[in-house]
Amino acid sequence: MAGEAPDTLLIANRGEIALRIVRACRRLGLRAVCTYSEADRGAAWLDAADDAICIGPAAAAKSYLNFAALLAAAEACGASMIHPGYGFLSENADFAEAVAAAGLTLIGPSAAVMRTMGDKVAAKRAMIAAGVPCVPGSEDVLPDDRGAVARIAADIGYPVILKAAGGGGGRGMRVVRQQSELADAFLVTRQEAQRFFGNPGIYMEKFLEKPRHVEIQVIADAHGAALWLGDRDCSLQRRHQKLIEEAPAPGIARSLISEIGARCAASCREIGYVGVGTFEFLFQDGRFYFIEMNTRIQVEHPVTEMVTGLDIVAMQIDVARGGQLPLRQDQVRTEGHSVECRINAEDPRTFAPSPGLVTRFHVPGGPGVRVDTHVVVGSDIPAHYDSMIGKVIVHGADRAEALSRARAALAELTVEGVSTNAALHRELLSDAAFDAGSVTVHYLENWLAERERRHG
Amino acid sequence: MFAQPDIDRILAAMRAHGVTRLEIKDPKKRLRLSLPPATGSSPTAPGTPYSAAVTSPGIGRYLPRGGDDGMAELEPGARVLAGEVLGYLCSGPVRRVVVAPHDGIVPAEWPETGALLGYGDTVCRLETEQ
Repeated sequence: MAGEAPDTLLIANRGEIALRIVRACRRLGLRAVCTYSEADRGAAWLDAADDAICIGPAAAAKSYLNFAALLAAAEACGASMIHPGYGFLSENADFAEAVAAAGLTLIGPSAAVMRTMGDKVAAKRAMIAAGVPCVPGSEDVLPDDRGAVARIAADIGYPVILKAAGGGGGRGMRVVRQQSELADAFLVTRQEAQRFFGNPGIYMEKFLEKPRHVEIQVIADAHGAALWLGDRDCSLQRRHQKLIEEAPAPGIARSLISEIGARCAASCREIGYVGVGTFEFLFQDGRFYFIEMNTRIQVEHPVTEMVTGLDIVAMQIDVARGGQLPLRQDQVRTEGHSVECRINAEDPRTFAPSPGLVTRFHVPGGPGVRVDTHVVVGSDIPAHYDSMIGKVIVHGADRAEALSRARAALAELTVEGVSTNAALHRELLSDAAFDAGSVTVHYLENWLAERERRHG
Repeated sequence: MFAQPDIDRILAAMRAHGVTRLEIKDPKKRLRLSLPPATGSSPTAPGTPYSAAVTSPGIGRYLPRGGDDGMAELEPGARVLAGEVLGYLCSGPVRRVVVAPHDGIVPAEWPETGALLGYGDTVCRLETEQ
């Protein structure tokens, strides 16, 4: 007897996350259709999909960001679901609305929730209401009144940071250390907010001098259940782009993490959140301060998968199509330690992208080593997109073993034809302060500046 | 930005006139095309047939000309003129026309009716005699 045709999921993304989603579809018995641009025509990861369809020219605006092309592809290949991955349209509420209007299921939360969480001020208000701790600051966008803004800054206490309400990715932010800097900073940040995000609204927060970036992974279903799946430390960043992530965050009392995790899960239930998400916090002096919620799967989700043993992408697809979470909070266990190194095709000193043809590619292996990559020998790394070509993820019984495995894996990794940041990872994994744990979000920038001074 | 069918048309015209280098510039865009120099044995030499890909202008399922459109079906070996309808791309109720980018001879190989085509996929190769 012929079985029923499997449901089809269209992948509106590229590279390693597209391949990761294909693998989740395999596990769930779904038909996976990859979309690709002309720059990605013939790419190796497309062979892993059940089908693949070209949606437009190389420019992302005409392909991976093109609503009409993606919806036409979904219609043409009979897809009932669209997975946006991360980046591109993954947090675009208008796209979520268009997908729903086309009668399709987006693997992500509703447009309304995306809008709330995409607006930093609204998100902060929702988190305060849910009892999630936030950085002290203005409760709304700042008024267009210099005197009032100066009074708010004085109440919070300098230094303060001005941020675009519709912002993200480190743009539209400005630190103000004293009152004399405030008026100019206010004007410039408002102009940037309008230019970058189409929304001139800005808000103010206390600027934390030495915070770590610690985040909580959550998942919630449409039946009122929400879980937190552990924590991650992503403090090693350059220009707000994460480089090395680990789970769990070292040196923080587990009772404190449990308390904040439970509050995150509770707030998901309160706002009717469905899907995976990440609550991002600054952590300083033993306290958590909410900064934003990402309403999508994140690049660093594998470190949580490694310590929990869960397939977070498969669970994400399941809850989006109405499934119930398969476990309770007391069944979520974390074991050992995991570290992820993002491998970018870029100059290791200048960080300029290094597109081109990969002529040699050897990925590390062995116990506790996982490499998520879409690259093979002969892959052409296009200049049009993000330069990440893979992630080396390791797991160990404890942090020391995980770092030891990461060092061995990075030593084994070979990429030729394009430059990569593998050497930078090797240096960082041997750095005494990182090895000791608990570096701040400013550590890598300072470390790079110091290296530049030493080597000229 | 130039669409692939436009570029194909320009390349066909370059071949037809023995032009090997062409640059088109305006304040917003620039296109530089180059072809190998024509030789006696080159497929682009006058009098020598060559085929150029007709590419899909979008996403949809292929429908040949001559079904319910009142037009004659295309017979292999027949001549078509630049701009002539070769078939359609269907997406829901919308039909998008696939046109000949240049004069040519209808090939024998076409996608199956209902075949899924993506942007830039080859619909057929149209043979042209210079």
